[in-house]
Order: sequence, then C-alpha cells, then structure tokens
Amino acid sequence: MSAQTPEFVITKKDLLQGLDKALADYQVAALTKKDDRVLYDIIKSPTEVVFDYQPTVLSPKKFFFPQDETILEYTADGKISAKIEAKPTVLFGIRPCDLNGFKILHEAFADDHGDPNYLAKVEQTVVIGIDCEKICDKDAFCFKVGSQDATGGFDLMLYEIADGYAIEIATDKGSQFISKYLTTSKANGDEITSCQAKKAANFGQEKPFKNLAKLPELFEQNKHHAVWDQEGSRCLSCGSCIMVCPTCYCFDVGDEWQLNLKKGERVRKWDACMVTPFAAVGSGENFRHTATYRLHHRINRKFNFLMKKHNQAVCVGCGRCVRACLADISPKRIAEAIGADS
Amino acid sequence: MATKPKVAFFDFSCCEGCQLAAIDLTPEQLLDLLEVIDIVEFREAISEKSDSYDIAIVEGTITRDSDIPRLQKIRETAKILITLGACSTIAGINALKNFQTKAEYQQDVYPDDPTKYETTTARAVHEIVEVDAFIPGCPIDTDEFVRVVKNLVLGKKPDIPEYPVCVECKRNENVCVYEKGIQCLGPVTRAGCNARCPSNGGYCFGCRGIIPEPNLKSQQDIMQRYNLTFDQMQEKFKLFLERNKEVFPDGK
Ligand code: SF4
Ligand code: SF4
Ligand code: SF4
Ligand code: SF4
Repeated sequence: MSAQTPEFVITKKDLLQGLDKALADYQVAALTKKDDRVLYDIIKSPTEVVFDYQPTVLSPKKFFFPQDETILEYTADGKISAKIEAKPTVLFGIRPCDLNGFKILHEAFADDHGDPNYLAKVEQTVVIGIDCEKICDKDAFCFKVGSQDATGGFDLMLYEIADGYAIEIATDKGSQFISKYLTTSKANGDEITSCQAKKAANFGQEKPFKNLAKLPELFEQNKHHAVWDQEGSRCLSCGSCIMVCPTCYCFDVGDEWQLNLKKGERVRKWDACMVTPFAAVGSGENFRHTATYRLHHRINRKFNFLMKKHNQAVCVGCGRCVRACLADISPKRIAEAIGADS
Repeated sequence: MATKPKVAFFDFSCCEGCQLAAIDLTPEQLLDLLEVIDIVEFREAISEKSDSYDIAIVEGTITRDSDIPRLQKIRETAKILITLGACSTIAGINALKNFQTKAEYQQDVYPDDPTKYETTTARAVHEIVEVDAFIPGCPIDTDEFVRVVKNLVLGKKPDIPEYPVCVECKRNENVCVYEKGIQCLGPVTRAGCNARCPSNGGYCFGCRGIIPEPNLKSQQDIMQRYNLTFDQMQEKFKLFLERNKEVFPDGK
C-alpha cells in the first residue's frame, strides 16, 4: 500500500479524553471485556477499551447489520410504517480486516439497493480504525487475501507510534470529529511510513496468495476437486462460520405478530447458507442438499462469484470462521488445495 | 376472529413443567392469549373437563399400554395435535429407562413390589399417533409456545427451527464451550431455545432433539478430538435421545 501522510498525531491520554468527550454525544462501541469474553460492545467509559487486539467471536458488522432488526411495523387494520433505528455511534478500534469487511458490506447494502436501515446507521456512525502492527493469531490470514491494510471503510485511521497514534483522515466526518473532540498536534509526515516498515518486518514472509487475482478462474476450474468432499464431509452444517463472518450478509425476513394479533412487526434476521434448510423451497426440493454443495457455494461466494463483483476477495482473512469451525474447515486450506499459492 | 379455537391440554408421564412454562406469561399476555384461544381443559390452571376441542396439546411420555387408548381418543377428537416438551416430542428423560430391561427398572423403582404398577417401554407421542406440530425442549421455550399458537391461529406453519443450536449460540456471541474443554451437543441439536444452556454457563445436552440430517459422524469425531471416550459421549446422548434411531440404532 502507498504510504499515507498523517496530518496529526495524538497522545494516548488525549485520545482517551477525546473518547470521553464524545461519549456525551455518541454511543461508543469498542473492543472491551464482558464476563470471560473480549468483544466489540458499547462502553460507558474509555477505561473499558481493550487496546491489545484479540480476535472477537462476532465481527463489528453487527453495528450496521444487527442479528435481528425490525424494518416495518403494522396493524391488523392496515397501517404500515417503516421502522429505521439509528443512533450517533462511534466505532472505535476496528482492525483492517473488518474495515475491508465494511467496504464489502457497504457495496452490498448501499451501492446496489440503498438499504435505508443500513444507510441510516452508516450516516450516523464515525468509524475509527487502528492498524495491526502484527498478525493477531495463527488462524488469521488477512495477508493472504490482501486485507492486512485498510483500504477504506473508515473515517479516521490510527497508527501506533511511541506514546500515541498518527492519524490518517479519510473523510470530512473524520476531520470534524477531530476538531470537535480530539486534542492533537501536527505530524512530521513520516510516521505512517515508519509504522508500515515495522509492520512489513513483523509480517515477514507472509505474502498474498501467488494467484490471488486468478482465484475466480481457479475456483471455476476446480468445481469437482477432491477438496470439496474432503472438507464438506466433515461439515456439521452448524452455521457458525456464517454468523461470525464480517462479509456474510444474507438475511431472512419474517412477520412477528403480537399475541393479541392486533399489531405486528416485520423482522430481518441473519440467515446462514451453510445450514440445511437454507436453500429448501416450498415444494420440498433443496437446491443445495448436501454440506459439500453448501460449502462449495459459500467459498465460491468469497473467492469467485462475489470476488468478480467486488473486485477483491470477499473473504478478508479475519480467521473467525476457522476459529469457530469445530470440524476444522478453512477457506484458506481450500484455496491452497486448488492452487492459490502454487 | 369469528370463533376462537378450543384448546385442551393433556398430560401423560412428565413433571408438567412444560404446561407451567406455557402459561409463564405476563398477565397482559395471558389475557391476549385467551382472546385468541379458548382453553377448555388444563389441569395445571383450570378444572373444566371437555370432550370437544380443536387443538390438543399433549405433554408427557407414553409409558403404559393403558395410555394408548386415551391418546387415540384425544387424536380422534382433535383437529390438530401438538406435542409440548421433550417428553411427548422425543420421549425425553423418561426414555432413560429403556436402556434397562423392564425387570431391572421395575426392581429399581419399586423394590418392595416390582410388578404393582403398570409400565412399559417409554415412547414419544408420534410413535403412537400422528402429530401435527412439535414444540420441543425441556422445558419448552415460552416464546416459542406463543409463536406456535399464533401461527396456528393465523393458519401458518408452526415455524420450529431446523438448524442447530450453534446458530443461536454464535448470534449471542458466546465463546464456544469446546474452547473451555466442555463438550456440547449444540452442533446437532435443534435450535429454538436461543441457545439457553451454552449462553448461561452450561452446554447443550440435546433436549430439543436432533436436527434433520445431523452429521453424527463429525459430531463424534469432534467429541473424541476433545478427549471424550466413546462411552462418555454415549452418556451425553443418552439423556434425551434414546428414541432416536440414528443415535441409538439398536434401541427398543
Ligand atoms: S470467510 Fe472466514 S476468514 Fe474469510 S472473512 Fe469470513 S469469517 Fe473471515
Ligand atoms: S462452522 Fe464448520 S462445520 Fe459449521 S457450517 Fe461452517 S464449515 Fe460447516
Ligand atoms: S457452545 Fe455448543 S452450541 Fe455453542 S457454538 Fe459451541 S458447540 Fe455450538
Ligand atoms: S441448549 Fe440444548 S439442552 Fe439447553 S435448552 Fe437448548 S436444546 Fe435444550
């Protein structure tokens, strides 16, 4: 990635104070601890922020596209009204893989159809990213799919320097946030370049798939490769990989009447193409009736069908599905099996 | 609603906890419920007896031959028969006794007079009569009960999930219990309880029964990978799944 020129630097103390100030006007979501979990959640004080990144179970897409969302309200006598909920929100500390995930989510929900519920949330959200200096764990493979650097999806991006962060500004929303909440000082201009040098050294030999750009072609040619059955036969069709994925965006829509049957709501919920009933239709057929078909479909969405549409791998290599899969199924292993790296 | 469907609750061998869970509603919800259905028989809450009803909600396991004519009569009378809870849906924990011989469990339970009480192999309701809808769980999920009732009144399908508990568990952003070295039947168990047990410090023991087309081979491999012997694993399956021929092919 080409080096950005930061305009400002901020000390960690000033950053925390800025977040505290922002709490008066925004709900702030950040990496934090809850019971025995580390997750993105709404915080009440900047002291709750966890800076040392650990992979989370769910991606922060849940703030733009929640697990359940009411989209319409209606009454039995025919009154229908759209329900769109959005609050001023700061998403703080989002990592490059998830920021690249936001870009893909945005192309799906904003560019093609302009989903009003999604757009209302995006409009009211300030996204502040933090770059990853090193690979977060053994399952992450952002570097294989070109997602280790954030190429969009943020308003402000922070790069760690001694005693604080250099700030890259991507949007007007970002600069307004700085002027209103953050006490900064002028940058020298080379901070991000030196962060990137350090990052390159930490990532070492971990390079993108040799044939990254050719993945759609490779997947097209390997529809019947043995890897599909090898991995698919172990698949439990449990749907975990979908729930945790930052770029899976399928949903189901259902009607939920109140018990008195006088009022109801139309609700959309995350759906999962890996579970058995996903592609079943009213007449009883199931278009993807085996786990192997479903796995083939999901992985082709990431590296073939949607990769052509979005011009980038739609798997951002966050590793969440690998960590979540009890059957040890990995998109990286499948891509390698069909020649992504050879 | 022109006429409210008449609903009757019946129980066989069980703790009647699911009937209590069914009416574990706020007073407002209870009034709303009574606005859409007419409850004509319900031992836990009212004393009326009726021979005429549209929907029979059946709780409990069939554990005696003399239960069968009673169940058949209910089936003949009702237009729709729904099972309520694990005991009637999959025979539940009552089917644990099926792992023993009749002489053994009679001796265990009534050592002084083993043959005094009538008993036989524990069976689920669908093994005896046709069932139109199943509300699984031990106990049932009250919200799911309400949803099934609403859907039936609206002429819709009961809408019981066919995907496993892991979906709900992940939506709740739980750390999988396998990561803590605890085994869980979530990957093969039917969702709908909002992953109640793994979300509250436990693990799934399969009370809602197995999903259609479970990958039991993979589930077994996983449990063994997490250091469970075959016998220990069978113990986990035993609690609720004795009637499942995929899990226990040589069961009674
Ligand atoms: S497919 Fe897996 S590794 Fe790729 S983005 Fe989704 S969860 Fe992350
Ligand atoms: S998490 Fe693994 S086992 Fe579960 S559906 Fe995904 S690939 Fe299959
Ligand atoms: S705890 Fe159980 S239900 Fe939850 S994800 Fe793990 S296996 Fe599935
Ligand atoms: S998590 Fe499993 S055992 Fe617990 S209520 Fe749900 S189905 Fe039953």
